[in-house]
Amino acid sequence: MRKKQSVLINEIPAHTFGWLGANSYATDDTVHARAIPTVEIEGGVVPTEPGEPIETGAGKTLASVLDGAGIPKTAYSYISDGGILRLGYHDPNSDGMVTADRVYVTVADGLTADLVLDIDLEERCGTRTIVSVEAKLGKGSTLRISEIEKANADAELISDLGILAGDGSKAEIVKVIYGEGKIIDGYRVDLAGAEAKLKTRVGYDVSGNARLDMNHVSRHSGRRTDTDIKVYGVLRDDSFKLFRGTIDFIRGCGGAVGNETEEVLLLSEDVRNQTIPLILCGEEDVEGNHGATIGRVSDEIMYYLGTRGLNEDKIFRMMAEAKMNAVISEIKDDKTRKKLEEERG
Amino acid sequence: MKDEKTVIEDVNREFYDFRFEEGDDVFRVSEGLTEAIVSEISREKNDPDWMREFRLRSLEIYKRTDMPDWGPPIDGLNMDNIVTYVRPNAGMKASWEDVPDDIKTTFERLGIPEAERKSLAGVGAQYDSELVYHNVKKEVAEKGVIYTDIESALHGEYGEMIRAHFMKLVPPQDHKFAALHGAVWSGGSFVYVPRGVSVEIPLQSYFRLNAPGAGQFEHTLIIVDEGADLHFIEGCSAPKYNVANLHAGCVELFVGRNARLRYSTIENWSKNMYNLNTKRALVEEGGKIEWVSGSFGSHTSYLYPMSILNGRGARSEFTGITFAGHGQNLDTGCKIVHNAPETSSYVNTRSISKSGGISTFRSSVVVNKNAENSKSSVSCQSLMVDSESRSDTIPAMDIKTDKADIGHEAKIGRISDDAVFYLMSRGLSEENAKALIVSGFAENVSKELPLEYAVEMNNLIRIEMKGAIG
Repeated sequence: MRKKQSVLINEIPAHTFGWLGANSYATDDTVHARAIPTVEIEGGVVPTEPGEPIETGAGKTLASVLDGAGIPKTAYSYISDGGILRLGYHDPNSDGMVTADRVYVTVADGLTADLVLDIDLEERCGTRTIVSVEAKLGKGSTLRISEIEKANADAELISDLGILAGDGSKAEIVKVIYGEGKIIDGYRVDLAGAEAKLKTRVGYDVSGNARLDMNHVSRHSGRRTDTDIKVYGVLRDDSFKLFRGTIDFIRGCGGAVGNETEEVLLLSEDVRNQTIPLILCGEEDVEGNHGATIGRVSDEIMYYLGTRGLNEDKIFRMMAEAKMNAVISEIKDDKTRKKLEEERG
Repeated sequence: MKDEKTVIEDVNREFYDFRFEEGDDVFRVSEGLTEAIVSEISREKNDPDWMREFRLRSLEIYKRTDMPDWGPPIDGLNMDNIVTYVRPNAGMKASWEDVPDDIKTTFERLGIPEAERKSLAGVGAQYDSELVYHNVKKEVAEKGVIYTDIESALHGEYGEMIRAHFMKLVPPQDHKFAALHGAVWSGGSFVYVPRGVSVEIPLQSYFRLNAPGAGQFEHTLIIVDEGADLHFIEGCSAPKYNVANLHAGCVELFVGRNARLRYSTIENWSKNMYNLNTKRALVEEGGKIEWVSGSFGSHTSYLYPMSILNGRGARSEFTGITFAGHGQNLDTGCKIVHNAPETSSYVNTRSISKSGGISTFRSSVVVNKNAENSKSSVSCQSLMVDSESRSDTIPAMDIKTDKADIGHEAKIGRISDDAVFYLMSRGLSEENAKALIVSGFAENVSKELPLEYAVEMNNLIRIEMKGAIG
């Protein structure tokens, strides 16, 4: 029987102090089989051949693991405006099973396309599902990615994304993350074309013994590129979360602008929150900002809502729902948005 | 004039770049780091047994500790080429008149005796590995304030106090260069401010490394007792050589209940220096540590003063400025540990990168589970002057309680066209507008420096704006 090898994924582009233990996520290289998704297609989306590899948030190590396990890339091409590709990963693995899937999408010049990823893992001991997506955006195209990441206790979900954005293209990513399991979430968007844009809205609400590990990277190599990252989160019970968010201005990306914020609500004395927001800058003519606020509901809000008859528990629940609903409302795909609204009540 | 670009000059180091040839009577150990060398240093310094054993234990820790796998490259530093102990041809004096001429001239050119006369309560001056001058004003000494070189304290009536505190905040296991320090440390100052005593004018230690290829490993230990108040200033510089020099000092600060300590540093090592310094403060209930840090020199810096807020209501303020010019990779910032309820920290930094310089702001704010109702606010701003340079911000927050209020913000950018336009519309020329903006960018931090250091700041940063923008 083959021995498991430890691998590091979700590696931060510039390391911080080693003692924080936050520079990467350690997992192993086990993959037993391909994860077979449910596939729904609307409009002009057709099978095609995968293009050149695109670097992802989890990194080259994960790509090597998937290559080594012989996991093929299933490729789709959006050939007309308004195409929708929905991929669902709900197949419950048996205990200890590790499955993986790889998808490669191409959006032709000028088109607007939707990609929906719905990864919902049952409570199974030691199971792991890996979904890795690469996307190439043509000139002036828009790809809207709506993603649900839900892992129940004892399950591990690895969601990995890489986007190469051409001139004038736009990537819009909305992620809703929840559950009590391990959720490893990485993306890397290379804004290589002039005036390419990235907008992300991420909402997470994790509880129990959940461990959420995020590595989000926006790499500005094109001129006048733009990043707008907003992350809202709620931590409950004994949950742990690590958010690494990087805006990387590469020399030559003159006129680029990058903004990144994270707001975290901590709703239990046993939670642990790590936030590492990076700005890496090798270009003079840029503007980069990041901000983070971490803590409880402010005394002012608590007082105001208290005078309206709400108790502490209700206020916390309301604030958490408000944060998540703000992200869910950004999902453009009606079917996905309604599913989330129903599931989360 | 139209062809001329706006120019921001590198820090002018001519003021500091002078040297005296080493005399035959200077004692130096061999290059490298071995047990024999560490033992020789210990013998030369007449260490008590516990210190000799401590040095040898630290050496073992050094050998088995890895180099950091983060931060700027330090491949150019080869310990086999570093001389860890150089004793000048002078003992420690209490009068400048008794200090040998070349060393006295060095400190006179740096303005230390003049500053002592005008605005300091006491001065320590270290030349290579040993203190050559130490003095404290009579009226300060009469209050019971102890300010002496650390070796005298170690061998005298404060020996037990030194033993109780030495490398307790920064143990040799902390990192590789803390272990190195534990093995070869020499020189530095000891300060004790008794309960309730307020030292109204600052004490200052100045560290000068003159010997090429040498290391300086001074140890500063300050204890500010309950309700006491002190401002301590540290300055350092060296002439430039074409071989690597190393500074791996260690600063340990103990701030008692309701006490306050302001620790100001202007670091201006030469550009062949690896500055791998460690500074740490332990703050008790209601106490306050204020760090004011200016990093201008060295080839490579790892510098992150750490505040451990260990008592209810303890506070930390860190104000820093970093200027990275050609050939410099300055990795600076701070670390804060909130380890008691109702503690607070405030961090405000500025950095400027130009001519290929690399400036990195790196920080960590840790709020432990027992630090309920603590607050932290971190603000860092970086200015890129050209596209040959780099400026990175790498902050980290690790929050282990829900009852905390943590804020962080960072900005990076260039000189704002809008701000230039606004000032020009008020009658300023473009070059004056830009000069004003850059000065204003640095002023938030420089205004926190003591007045006497404002003069040095003016020597350090010469921002010259000339001509029109091409």
